[in-house]
This record gives sequence, C-alpha cells and structure tokens, in this order.
Amino acid sequence: MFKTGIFLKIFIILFIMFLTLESAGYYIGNRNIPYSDKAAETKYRKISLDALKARNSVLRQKLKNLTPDRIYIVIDTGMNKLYLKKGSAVIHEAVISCGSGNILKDPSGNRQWVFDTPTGEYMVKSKSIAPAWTKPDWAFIEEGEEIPKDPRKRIEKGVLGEYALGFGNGYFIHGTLYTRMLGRNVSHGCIRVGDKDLKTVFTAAGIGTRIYIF
Amino acid sequence: MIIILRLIFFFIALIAGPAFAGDDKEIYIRESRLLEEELKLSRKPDIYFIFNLKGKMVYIKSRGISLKELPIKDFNFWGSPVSVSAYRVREKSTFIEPEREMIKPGESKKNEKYKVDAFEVTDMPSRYTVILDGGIAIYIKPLTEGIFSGISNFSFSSVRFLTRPILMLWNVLKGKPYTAIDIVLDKNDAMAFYWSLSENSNAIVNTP
Repeated sequence: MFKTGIFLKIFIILFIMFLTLESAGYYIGNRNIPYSDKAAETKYRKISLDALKARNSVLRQKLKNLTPDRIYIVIDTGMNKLYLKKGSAVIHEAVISCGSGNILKDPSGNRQWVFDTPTGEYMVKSKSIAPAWTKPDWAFIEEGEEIPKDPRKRIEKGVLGEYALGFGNGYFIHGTLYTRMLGRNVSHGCIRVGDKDLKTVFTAAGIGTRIYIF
Repeated sequence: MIIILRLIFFFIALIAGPAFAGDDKEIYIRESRLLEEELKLSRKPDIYFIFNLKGKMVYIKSRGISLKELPIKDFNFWGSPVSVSAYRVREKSTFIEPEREMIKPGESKKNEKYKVDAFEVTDMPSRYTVILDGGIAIYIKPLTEGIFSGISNFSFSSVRFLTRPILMLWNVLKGKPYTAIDIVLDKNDAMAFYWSLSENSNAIVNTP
C-alpha cells in the first residue's frame, strides 16, 4: 500500500515533468532559432514594398520565360512515359522503356555498369534513320561472350528500330523489338519507344531539341 | 546553469520580441527570395525539387520547367522556420532500401525462360525520410489506405507527437535550428517521388 503510494507520486511527478517539457517544446520549439540568412534579409528590407512587388513580377516572368515555346521532350523514367511538349501543352504521349537499374560487373576486371537512364537536361545531338547498334563491351559481357577485337563485329543492325535520336554519352531514344516490355524498366539506359510513337518523336524533334529526364 | 539562462532568455525574447511574421512586406520578401533561389537553381541542367507546403504541392523541376506535380494531401510542420534557400538533399533513408539486381553474365543466353528483373517504381518505399543540409528532416508517408497502413500511420504520428516537442526543446537549449516536416502523399506519388529524388540534388522548402 505504502509502495503503491510512492509509485503513484513518482509517476505523477514524472508525468507532470513530461507534460511541462512537451508544452515548453511546443511553445519554444516553433519559434526556435531560424535558419537565418541575415545578409539577404537586410538587403530585402531596404527595398520599398512597391519596388519589391515590381521585382517579384519581373522574377516571375523570368521564370515563366524559361519554359521553351518550341517543342521539347520530357521523360518520366519511373512511369516509363515520354511527353512531347510545347510550352505547357502536351502534344504527344508515349509509353516507353527506361533503364532497368540493374548492375553488371566485368568478371575479368574492375569495371561495373549501372543501367540507369541518366537524369537532367539534355539535347538531341544526332538523328539517324535505320540505325545500326555498335555494341559496347557490356553487351558482350552480359551475354557471356568474348569482346571482339574487330570493331566490325560490334555492329548489329535492326535492333534499334527505324529511328534513333542520340543525346550524348552513347544514350539514344530508339525503337525496340521488345514492344511487350514497353511500360517497364528493362533497357540498359537508352529510351525505347514503340514504332508509331518513335516516328512522331523523330519527326517533331530536331537537332538541339531539349530533353528533360527525371 | 547555462541551459537555465538560455531558457529564461528565450522566454523573455518571446514575450518582448516584435512580431514581424505575417506583415505584407515579409510575404513579398519571402516570395522574392523564393523566385531568386529558383532562378539560381534553374541555371544548372539538374533536376531540383520544390516542397511548396503553402500551395500543397511538390514540384519536380528542371530549368524552371515543372516536370511533375505531386499534390500534398496533408502536412505538419514542427520547429524552426525554414529560410528560403536551396538545400542539398543529404540523404534519403527508409527502413528497407530497395535493392538493385546483379546481372549474371551469360545468364540471358543460357536460360530460355530468363526474364529481366527490373528495378521499378513499384519497388520503391512509400514511407521514408529526406534529410536536407542544415538538418531539416522531411518525413514522407502515404495516405492511409486499409488497416495496416492506418495502424502504421497512427503509431508513427503518435510517437512523433510525443517526441518532437522534446527534440525541439533539446535543440533550442543546444542553440541549433531543428525542423521536421511530415508530408502525406498519395501512395503512388510517394513511391514516384522516392524514385525521382536523388541524393545531392537541391530542394527548396516554401513554408506557409
């Protein structure tokens, strides 16, 4: 009985202490030390309200002007979707295949490849009809074959579809033989597009067309 | 003793300090800084992210172009006010990290039934933490769907409601800023965001 009383008292004291800490945390914590940038704050405080409004309007316009009024391509690697856009309007939408994200290690060396589609801003650097694929080393390693010394043995025709748009570092937007895999992440980093959609993209995009990949 | 003095100082500062927040100029200063920071980010060809808590939207952007918009279903903000700056994504962490498959050389030729194991958006977690430079922690969780998700969301929220004030107080006493933001997204959006978010990319947080 005596012990229960003490236990209860301790419990109540601890509970009150906890509640006090919680309340203090709620009260003080929300007005805690800000991530202040005093130099910037001072700079802005000197500007009048009207000037600030005008400045914001200019900045907003600057940002808005960044959206290209010419055709550009947006690639959603997660959803495996390609959007052909002009301004904020979507002109064409296609189901694609992006990088599988799988890893390949060279058993005879220290090389390693991660088959991700690169993200960021790119531009169309080359356009080709009936492209031939120059198989890189990883293609032979993946298939368990020896890497040929003769560069002619690296050429493979017909696997990239009817068109290819290169955007640097060996990455292309191209066709595919594996159309049933469209919508899944199965490529080695390139962007595989179905025949019909590829023709639309190839016709609409020119050299210099921006590509935004995320 | 120093801790007690700090505590007293804070109470005095809170009572005596002028309330700047909420005035017109403050809103425009914030907007101006937000636009300037975004313009700075748009000069680089990288993907960046904007957590617009005020407009309840997460934007995936590049060069000022909005590539994807993910509606925020709900959010909770705890701790220090976040200044309008670009913060580097230091880390994204989750309980079980999605794993990439290792390709075994020659397997695709040997095995006729071989199929590619893709690392896809459906493999991504919907519950994870994004840590920004400066220690800002953003907790992403999915909208409650079903019993398991409901229990999980309830228990996480309960623990956070109990621990956050203590952490806030602790950081005040240490003189460090502390911010924790809980963001609820649609489950698919949460997974898609984890997919797109890469460490070392930049993010701006616009708080209400």
